[in-house]
Amino acid sequence: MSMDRQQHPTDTTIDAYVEELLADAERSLVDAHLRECASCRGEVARQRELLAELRALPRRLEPGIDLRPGVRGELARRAHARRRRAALRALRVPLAAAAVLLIAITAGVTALLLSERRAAEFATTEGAPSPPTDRGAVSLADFRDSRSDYVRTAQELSIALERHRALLSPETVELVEENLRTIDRALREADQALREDSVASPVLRELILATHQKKVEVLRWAISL
Amino acid sequence: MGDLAVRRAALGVVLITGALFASATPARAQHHVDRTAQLDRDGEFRIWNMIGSVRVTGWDVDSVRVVAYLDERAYRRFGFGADGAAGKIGIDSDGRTGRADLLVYVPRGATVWVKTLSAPVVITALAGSIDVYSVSGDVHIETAARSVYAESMGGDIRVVGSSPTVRLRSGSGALDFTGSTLDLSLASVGGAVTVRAAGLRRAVVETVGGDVRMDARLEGDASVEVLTHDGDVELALPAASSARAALRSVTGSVRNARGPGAEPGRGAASIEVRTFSGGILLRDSP
Amino acid sequence: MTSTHEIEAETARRIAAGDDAAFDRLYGENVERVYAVCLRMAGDVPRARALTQEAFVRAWERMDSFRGESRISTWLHRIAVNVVLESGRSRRRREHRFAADEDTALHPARASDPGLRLDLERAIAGLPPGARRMLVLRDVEGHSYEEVAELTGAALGTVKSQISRARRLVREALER
Repeated sequence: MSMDRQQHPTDTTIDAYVEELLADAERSLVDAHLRECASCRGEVARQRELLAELRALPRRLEPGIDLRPGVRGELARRAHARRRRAALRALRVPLAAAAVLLIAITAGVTALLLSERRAAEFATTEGAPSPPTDRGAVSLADFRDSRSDYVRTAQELSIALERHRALLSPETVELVEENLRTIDRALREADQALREDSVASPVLRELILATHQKKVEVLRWAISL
Repeated sequence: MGDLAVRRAALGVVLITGALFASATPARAQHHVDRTAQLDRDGEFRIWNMIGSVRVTGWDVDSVRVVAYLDERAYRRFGFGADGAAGKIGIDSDGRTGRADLLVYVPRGATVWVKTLSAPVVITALAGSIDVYSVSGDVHIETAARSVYAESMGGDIRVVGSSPTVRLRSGSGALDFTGSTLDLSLASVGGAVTVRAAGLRRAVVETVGGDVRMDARLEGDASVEVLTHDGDVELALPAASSARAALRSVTGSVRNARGPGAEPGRGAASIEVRTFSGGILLRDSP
Repeated sequence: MTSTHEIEAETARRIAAGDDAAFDRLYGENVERVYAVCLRMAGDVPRARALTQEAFVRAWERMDSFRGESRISTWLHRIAVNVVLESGRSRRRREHRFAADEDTALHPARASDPGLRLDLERAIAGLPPGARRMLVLRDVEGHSYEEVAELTGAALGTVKSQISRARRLVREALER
């Protein structure tokens, strides 16, 4: 041990002594030193007092706000992100086939200048694996799940925002509403296109989900203002 | 005092060492405040002004200094303090008018956090992390920082400089970035997005109605992703650079006006643009 | 007779199956405990709220792996500590950017309340981040030095010397 009767114990040794973590032999050495050293006795007393105070601190503290809406919103966001990644993985094979063809016919930047319908044609003519109907069915189900998650979350947040509204200035309320109007207009246009498009193009679906996500973000943002 | 009240009080004053002037009522209508406190060069400083503008600038001194003219109402709600590692300045709003414009000097390497309501924020000469939260104020940041995050639902955000990561978010306000960054993320609702960037490795731009104009020099294996409902997207790349681009629009026009360039090799940059009705144009940089 | 462990395992199964009311109960019983450890380890209110939220998100996502071998509160505590330690390592604060940022620290009425506990909390918050986390785990939360070393990934000797130093810094702050 790093002490003798003349030499003061180190800070960590004092701490171990106070916490009763020293082996008997070491403990006796510190006891002997303390009998002769008022300064170290003071150090031990102060350290004991501090540890008692730290242990007496309340183990429960109120966060001051309800974090549950945030927890649920974050869970919905992550679930959507996972579905979005899965949908993109399912699309990757035929897109890669189309890209290979275009790289062959253009030099420099290779651009996929395709509407969704033409992308489907490419996939068909190039004999891409995985039948489009199966792929569409899986990602369409994911799309519907995600969209209803977002719609539900947005409804919950809208109710929370109504309660929060009294705390916001009229200018801020108008600002929030202006942004929500922009988003709702985009959602109406995209939903209309979805109804008219029996193929339900993956790009359209992804854009719709991104816009729903934006709405949830803006609502959460507004509540945090 | 109840146990709960003690806990609340304990939380309430964490990090605050400065005097608070709740009861001080000087006779003059205007108060000139000029105060200094010690702050480490890599300390953290928070600025909170709900009734006026904030200007922050870095200096090579291990302290924070605030200079401000406050009216009576603002003066009564003013708090300031720092204890080396961290500090804070704040002017709360009591719901009535009052005005406080703050000029704050902080150590150049400090982490700075700013929150305002509707007045502008200007930040210059800081090398640490910068976080700005405004409801509707314009934000202007001009510096080479460790990271930049800024959001304003109604204000425009303009960043000039360099930082490894830049994240900007607005609602109806415009977003504008000029400089170099590895990782850029810009999101708006109706606000237009303008980017002139060098050294990009990753860029994600999302708007609902905002147009996107981007002139970018990309690193070899960079990825650029743009997603918008009906904003027009115009993307310019240096003529000599090569990239793979997937430009997809549900109903909008799509045009590739790039001249002949090098064949994209393995590990070339990738560009993905998706819009509902916004037009897409890919072209060479001027 | 049904044991506490069986009841808690059942609660976990319900939450994993999407039972909102079961989650509300779990949250109500544990949020103050989780928040206390996040606040003391992180040192400021907005970050502590964001970390608390993240701890419950993670708990929900992993609920189907809870087998009732420990108390659910212990399991949650462990998740919270890991969330704080990970955030300290990578400072991925942007992920929590939607958390409320309002700050209550400047209300004069609250600031005027003195008291030892308040000074002690302030002194802890003022410690360097690494030392603060270790001190909170050992002296407030009651973990052994070995557990602190395992949780933080630091060597046992480093943990002991950091905590020893942190205690003296706290005392210095209180004596000022």
